[in-house]
Amino acid sequence: MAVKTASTPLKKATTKKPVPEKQPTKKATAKKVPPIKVIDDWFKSRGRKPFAYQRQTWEKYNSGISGLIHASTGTGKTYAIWPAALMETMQNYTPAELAAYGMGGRDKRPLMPLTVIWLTPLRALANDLALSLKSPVEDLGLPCLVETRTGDTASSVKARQKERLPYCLITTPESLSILLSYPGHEEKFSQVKLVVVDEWHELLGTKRGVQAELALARLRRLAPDVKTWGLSATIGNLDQALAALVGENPESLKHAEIVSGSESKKVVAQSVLPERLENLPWTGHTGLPMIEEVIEQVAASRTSIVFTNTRSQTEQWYMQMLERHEDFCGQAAVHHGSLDMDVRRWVEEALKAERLRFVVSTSSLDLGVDFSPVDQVLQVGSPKGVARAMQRAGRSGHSPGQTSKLYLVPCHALELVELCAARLAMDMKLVESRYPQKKPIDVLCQHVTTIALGSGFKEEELFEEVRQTSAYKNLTRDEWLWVLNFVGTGGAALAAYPEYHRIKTEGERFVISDKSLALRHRLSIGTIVSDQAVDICFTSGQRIGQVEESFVARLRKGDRFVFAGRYLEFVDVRDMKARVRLSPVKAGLVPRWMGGRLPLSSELASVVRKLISDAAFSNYDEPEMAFVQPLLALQSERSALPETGELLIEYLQSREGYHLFVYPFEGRLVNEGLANLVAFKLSQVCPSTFSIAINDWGFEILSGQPIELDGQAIGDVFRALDSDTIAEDIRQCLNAGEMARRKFREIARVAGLIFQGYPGGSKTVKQVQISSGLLFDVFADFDPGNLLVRQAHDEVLENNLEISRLKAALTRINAAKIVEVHATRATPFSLPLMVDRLRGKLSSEKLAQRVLRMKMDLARDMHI
Amino acid sequence: MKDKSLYEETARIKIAGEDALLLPQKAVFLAASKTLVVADVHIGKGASFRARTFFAPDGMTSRDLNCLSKLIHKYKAERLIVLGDLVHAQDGLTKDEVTLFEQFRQENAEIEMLLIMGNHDRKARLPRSWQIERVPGELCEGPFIFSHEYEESERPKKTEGYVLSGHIHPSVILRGQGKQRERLPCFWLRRKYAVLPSFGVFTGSFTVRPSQLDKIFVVAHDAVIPMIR
Repeated sequence: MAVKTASTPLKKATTKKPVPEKQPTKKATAKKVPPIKVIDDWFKSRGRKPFAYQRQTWEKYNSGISGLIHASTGTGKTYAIWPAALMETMQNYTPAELAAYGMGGRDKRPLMPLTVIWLTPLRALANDLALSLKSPVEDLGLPCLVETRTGDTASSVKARQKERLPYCLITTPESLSILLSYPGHEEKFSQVKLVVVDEWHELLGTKRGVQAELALARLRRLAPDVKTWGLSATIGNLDQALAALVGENPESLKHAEIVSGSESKKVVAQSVLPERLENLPWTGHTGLPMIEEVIEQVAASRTSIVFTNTRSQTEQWYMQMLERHEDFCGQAAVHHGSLDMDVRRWVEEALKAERLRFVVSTSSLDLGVDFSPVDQVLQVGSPKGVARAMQRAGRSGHSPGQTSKLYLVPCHALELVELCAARLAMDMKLVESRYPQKKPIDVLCQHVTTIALGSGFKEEELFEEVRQTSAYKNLTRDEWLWVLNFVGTGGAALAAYPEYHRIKTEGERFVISDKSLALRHRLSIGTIVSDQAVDICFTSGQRIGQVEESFVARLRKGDRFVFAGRYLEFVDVRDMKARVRLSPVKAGLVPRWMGGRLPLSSELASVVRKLISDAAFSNYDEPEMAFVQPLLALQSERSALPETGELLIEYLQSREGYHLFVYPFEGRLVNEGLANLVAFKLSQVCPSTFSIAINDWGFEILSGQPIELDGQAIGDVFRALDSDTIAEDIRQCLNAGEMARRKFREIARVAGLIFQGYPGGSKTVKQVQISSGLLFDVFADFDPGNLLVRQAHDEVLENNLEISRLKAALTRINAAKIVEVHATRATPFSLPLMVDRLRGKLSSEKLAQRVLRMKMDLARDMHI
Repeated sequence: MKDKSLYEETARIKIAGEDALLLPQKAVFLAASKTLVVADVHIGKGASFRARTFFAPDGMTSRDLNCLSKLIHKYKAERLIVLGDLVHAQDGLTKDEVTLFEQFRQENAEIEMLLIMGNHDRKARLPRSWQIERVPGELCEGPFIFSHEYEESERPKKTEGYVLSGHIHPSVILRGQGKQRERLPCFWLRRKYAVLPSFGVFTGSFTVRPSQLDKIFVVAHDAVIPMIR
């Protein structure tokens, strides 16, 4: 028997032991309780029993399996995986070894190494998650420190974490990227055993999801034993989601499985109808005409969440509800992503402690840890997707098994058709798929810089690593070299820009060329998440939240606006912060955020089409349909209601010009693609300029001159689109229109072409950089092979002209009979498009020709 | 089908009683003195950005200088006046950029070239090899005062004259039927002074709202269009 001396290290190498759960380890000096019993006892002490699927997951984890758990919110996914990690730790360390570790702070004992990384898409969720994870740890007395690291984390904590990471780190994809950009991180990550990606369905299909995929690939290199587990809502393409999570190689996929969680809660959905149809406007996005009904509903219950689709809406609704129902004062709150962390946290705690009657919120409260104390959920406006509706509904009902109540509130009359569709689709469980992004070059540019900054890399190795991910499995060598050259020299291989280097080679490795770039790069890693944001704070310095720079730029001293549920008066901008004070006057603007409008999913769109077709046959079975029957009858009278197998087209002439309306009912993204293609084809017939408006039901093409195209010809346009020449048409169309230019804005930001500005920096952001529009124009002229411009085009192709969806749409449209109507007055279908101020443009005319017909914006006052 | 040209490419006007041509390349040609006038070229802006590790593509200086050469030849200009900000910054004056201008100078060796110093020029050292005469303040000649920036406060003290200036990079917003909207660079002719659009391809612009009494000439790709209210 070996004699233990004082210098013998207590810690053993942490290799995985294939010990079956119930056998005690032989080397322990004291009797060791099997970890599974420890966990079972803990559940018992909490008055709960683990679900079957939770046990299943623990077993799989113990055998080294990675995987994806899918279930609705609030059904125990967190505890399906967290106890497994704890059990592994209890397995790998003896009680004596564990006793040697501390929890930081005054405790001078060393911390356990970083063992679990928990990725979450919203920093708002991190705190609640931490509480959930800490609960068993504290009860069991394990030295497993759980900490968060997000944009909200205090800099002192972040600085400490740079030196010593906790046992479990809850963080966002961008914060994880930042950690990978610090030199010397490899050692700290080498002991990681588990990465959990929470709400994976939310990240999947976005650039942050790609960022996460790349980070995961890196982690698998740094810690080869690591297991990856995703927690997700149920989506239509789980296999694809799994591959994106664990990597696209046969080896990983062999050890990965999908686990189905508990049965989802029963959801009872109901649309809220106004007293009379006349009370609902034909157009509108705020929903405020329904406020009295909402107040009535909220007052009748103990706790509610009122979900809106935009941040502006939450501010408006909150203020209005308080104004009209004074009893609510002090019992209500606002919650959205632009509010300061302290504000949000206060709301979250108050909600949990049931101190609030209601909270008006955006999707920031969509996702969450397993708690749901509210009695009912109200959704203002169409949820646009079944999964989203179900997720939000899941925030109500006190525990798994209870019924969730969801009330759908229309913003305009025809939206009731969508609400009805959402309700029916939820019953049918028509969940959408979330498709991963395909090799976005801008994210790769950012990642390459991150790795160069952090550890440096060998070109071949990183290429292979990146190709393991779902997103970049089809990355070609040429594209890879382009990225390296771009990041290294700023251009294509042929043109060298001697002054511009972000990375350079040191021997075999690529490293960052200039340390001063480090701070700027880390700051811009978060650019995927948000647009240029300006902090709002009181003159005392207290932070309230953020708004977009475009909103602040328009403010003058004394201007009033609403934010965080308060009336504020703008003072000035100092050091990139907008300073405000409370305004005694109860009036003000509501800020607008540029956040994208979510498109109607194709699943929902198909149900909407069916409902309208039913109405065409005078079938108004559903309550919402019966309610809007007069409006649909008016549509039928002034125009027509398209039946299944028909495509409706309307022509109208007004003071504004000549309108063409087409209603494919394919969601705004595909509709935008179709609109641009149709406009492009039209403009080829004779030089013209069009203004384009889109919504989820259809599109409008508006021209100053008559549109010389009848239904037959438009049918020809659609048929021509459904052919092999479509790729060429699309490319030409993209150059003629604006879609790619707009996409390029974000791409330029993510790829690091444009820098947001230093926090607290004295210059406004605009002075430091070139506008993305100017860059796009210059690229178009001087660097046409530029992959980032190509990415802008490709993104338009993927999102707007998503080939699979587009082809399906075109197939359906081309089989349809075209119903052509020359309307004499605006129709209920067309009005929402006509009043839309956010318009696209496409022109085949010479600019000078157009300018001849235009007039200038003049100053209102005369001055010489 | 050929486009019926309802517009002239250049605008022939009178400024301070003198014949002038407003060119769609964003320059002014003064017939009497055979002078080509441009403002805000910002040579080396791309290189300057790159030196500060911001990205900028290449080839713009060549384009700008080729354009200038073409204009000089087309209108048989005998003199070129730059109304300030010929260069962007010192770190933009790399060997390549300097050489490009030297070549341009050689090709137009017989032309007189003057630079009215602008705020950007003052912070850089112009190479001697460029052989361009630097005017520190303003140049008064005939009815004109060539300046970088018009400042109301300076006016009473100085001599009378119509000021030709740059610095602002003006553009205006146009609206049309069918909910059309465009923002385009322009020549802004006011009562006492005119502002030229910025010449350099890599320069942005600033929206101005002209008053009722101003004359605006919009640059629409290949034509200069007078805006009638």
